[in-house]
Amino acid sequence: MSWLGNALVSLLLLLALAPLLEGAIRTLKARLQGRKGPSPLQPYRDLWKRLRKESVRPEDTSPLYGWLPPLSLAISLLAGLFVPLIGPAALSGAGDAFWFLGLLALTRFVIGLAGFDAAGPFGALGSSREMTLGGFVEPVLFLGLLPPALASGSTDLSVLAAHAGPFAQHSPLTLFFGGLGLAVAIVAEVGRLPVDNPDTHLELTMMHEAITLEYGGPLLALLELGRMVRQFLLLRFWWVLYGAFAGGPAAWVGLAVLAGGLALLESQSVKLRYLRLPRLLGTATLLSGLAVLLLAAPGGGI
Amino acid sequence: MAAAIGGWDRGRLPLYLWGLAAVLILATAWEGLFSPRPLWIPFPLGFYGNHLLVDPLSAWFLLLLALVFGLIAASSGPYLQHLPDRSRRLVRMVLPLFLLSMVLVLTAHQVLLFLLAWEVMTVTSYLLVVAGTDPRAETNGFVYLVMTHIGTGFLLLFFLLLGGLDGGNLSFSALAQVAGHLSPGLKGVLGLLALAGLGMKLGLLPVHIWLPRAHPVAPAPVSALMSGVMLKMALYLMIRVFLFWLAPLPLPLDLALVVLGLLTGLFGVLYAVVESDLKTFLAYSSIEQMGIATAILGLAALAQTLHHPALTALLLFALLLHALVHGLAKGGLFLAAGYLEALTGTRDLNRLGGLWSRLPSLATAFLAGALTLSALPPFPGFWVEWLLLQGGLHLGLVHSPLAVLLLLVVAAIGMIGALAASAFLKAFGLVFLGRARSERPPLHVPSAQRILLFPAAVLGGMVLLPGSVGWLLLRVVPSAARVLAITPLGWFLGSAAISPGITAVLLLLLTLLLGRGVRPRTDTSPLWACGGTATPAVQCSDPAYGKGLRLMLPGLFRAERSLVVEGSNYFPMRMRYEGRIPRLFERYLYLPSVRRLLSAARVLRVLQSGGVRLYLTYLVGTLLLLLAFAW
Repeated sequence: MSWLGNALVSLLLLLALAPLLEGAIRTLKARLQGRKGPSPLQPYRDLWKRLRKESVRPEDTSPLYGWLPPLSLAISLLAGLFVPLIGPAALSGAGDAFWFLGLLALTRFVIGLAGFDAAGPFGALGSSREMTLGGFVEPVLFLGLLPPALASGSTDLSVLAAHAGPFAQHSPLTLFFGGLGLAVAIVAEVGRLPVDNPDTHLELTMMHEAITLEYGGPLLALLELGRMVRQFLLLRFWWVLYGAFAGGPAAWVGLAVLAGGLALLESQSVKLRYLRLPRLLGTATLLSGLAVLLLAAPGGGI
Repeated sequence: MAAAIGGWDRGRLPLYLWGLAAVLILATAWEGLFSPRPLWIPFPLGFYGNHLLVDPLSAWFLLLLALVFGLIAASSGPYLQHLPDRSRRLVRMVLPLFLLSMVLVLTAHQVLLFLLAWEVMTVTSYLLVVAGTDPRAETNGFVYLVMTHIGTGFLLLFFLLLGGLDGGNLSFSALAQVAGHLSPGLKGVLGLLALAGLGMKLGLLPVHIWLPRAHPVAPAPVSALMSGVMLKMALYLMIRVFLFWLAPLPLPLDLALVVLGLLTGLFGVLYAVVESDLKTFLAYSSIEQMGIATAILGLAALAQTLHHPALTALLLFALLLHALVHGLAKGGLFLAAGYLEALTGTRDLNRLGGLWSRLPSLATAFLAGALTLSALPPFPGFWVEWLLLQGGLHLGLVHSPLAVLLLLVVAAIGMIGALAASAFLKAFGLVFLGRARSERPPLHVPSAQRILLFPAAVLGGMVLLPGSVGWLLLRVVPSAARVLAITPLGWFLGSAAISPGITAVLLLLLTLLLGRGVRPRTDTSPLWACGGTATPAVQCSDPAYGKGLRLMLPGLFRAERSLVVEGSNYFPMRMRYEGRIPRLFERYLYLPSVRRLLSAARVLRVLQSGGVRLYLTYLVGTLLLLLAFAW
């Protein structure tokens, strides 16, 4: 039952570190924008505050209302068991990278349900935007998975982590293009600028935020924690596939570098108009496709 | 063998007989799956052959037929009561014949019997479609009839050509023997003929237009049977022809199958996202799923052309799994939609809403079907997509020039899956969540709605015990066992063991219980709508949900709008807004062709002026011509 121990450790690690990553990104963003900013531990304080509050439910919600936030958090944590955090992933034999991406898609669906539930004006529109965007992001996520999978012959994330070094050595150009394409998709999936502004409260610009409008108190805390866990996992996912040193302490340094990159990107870019997002993601698709073609070309590495 | 039981209008006896028929078919399927040799059932029909054959491939589809028909038998009672007399009588009389024809299609071993059964299937389904109460049932049924017969014409050509090459022996085994040794050019021609004929029945681009017309207007049990099972009949023959008879196919045909399948899938799902009618939405979803099935078939044929029997077996495994999962899920969804229409009087997503509290079982059944067809883990729809991706990946690993195809397949499948999830979220959310968007009479909910949970239960059972399905399916494709063992999910599908998937699910439940521990003290309050009253009309409607996608792809969705304002522009008294999305293929391909055909016919009408003298001239002219020839 060693995998059970591994699973518990992974879960606790995720729950403990995900808010820290979010806090670090926020503090870094503030500093880059010339503000002093909150401390990196602020998300912990926010979550604790919300967990102790009462929750108010809109009148016409279905019985799903109270269950969707814990479900979204549970699925995000379960997805984390397929990603190698310290050593191989806990459930690495039972599922691979496609399972991981599929579970993230399931989370998107569950949160989309939450948007419809409250019968409010903005919720379902937020769901519509999230799911339509998902239609353009999923191909890029799948394609971004292909070059490392083709190079190492497996889609299991623990195996891919072990092969990260040789992959980087043999195919640097593929690494560049593939990594760039996947990075764009991950920015979209995580919901950061230039795709979606996590700090906005303007109805016309909201995507994920529109769905969480009708939630408050502990349920909102669970939704936010789920979002932070997914952010952590997606950054780790990128690093396992395209970071050259996927194991050991270098991996945590890499994660910090990625967080810094996100903060920098958010400070530099404006939010793209929603209707322009397919163009951005189409470019990312082409980049990922180029990476696969480079790999498959004679002398490319497979 | 299923007995064709003529139904009569009184009592519940016909439904019990239908149930009995379903059980008999199930027993046959079970026998077929587990007996060591294919079952030869003597069925002497003289000119039409002497036997029926139940081999594992037929048995798998018979299993699907039995499950769906059993579900219909169990749940259609109250629904049929609400149909008008004429429709009800028609359905009760013709549905068993439809069933019989499908059984014969699956077990026929001789060309003439097969074609006879195919034709009976077409005609009975036409009669069942026009039994619907929708005012457009007759027109749409006619379109369906015409298109299916064009397809059957191609199929007839295919069989004629193949039978001619065979020297007149019309049994399937003789045809299979001959077809395997043909030249690639001839195989290509035969393959194209078969594709044209069967693709029309399957609903592939560009001959899919009958699906969104015929399936919504038919009565619910008929739609369920048509979408869940009849489409699979075409798939069954395609598997036989492409993977067993004409194997190995020429490479361009494989690629054509894959590309056509992916295009169909994309087209279907894009139209599903913007569709407001619930049953038409389900029809477009069927088009999408059949596109995916064709893509899987194409990849399997590709693996066979490149001489990889293990990958072929894996992809065939995926295809058969897809057939079962989709048939069950779609059958259940159509029955649920039929119930909804009977109870609320409308299929329009813009008029429904907030039905979870009144119809919890129906909502759960719908949600299970929606999750399955959206290819979301841990439901079986995701397994099919996963197997497809793994198969494609291994093909790309083995043959690196296929990387381009692999790219297309992976990207397209990703997009189709995510958009399907979006479409089903819309359907479920608009119908069951939120508040009711229009005034409705109070619902009288029959107790039979619980039966509709049966497909949900089967799908849920598949999640918990994937090995059970795999164990059954490996009877059909035994060589898949070896290659399945290589991949993690595959191992659990291929063995009867209980997978860590169950442990994962239990973990999920545990975390859910933790969520319960976080249970807050909840108060209810009215919805905040920026200070005004929150009427049901502020909710998202179907056009609003699809607007983003519509604006992103304006070339595909050429939406037409009309806005009529009564009163001046500053003080409008009334506004009337109409918007619609035209069906591209109908408007730009079919309508012009039909118009040209009709005008050509009008020109040719001159030849039949009705005057006796002109006809006498024809007679004399023909006589003179014949005399000239004889000389």
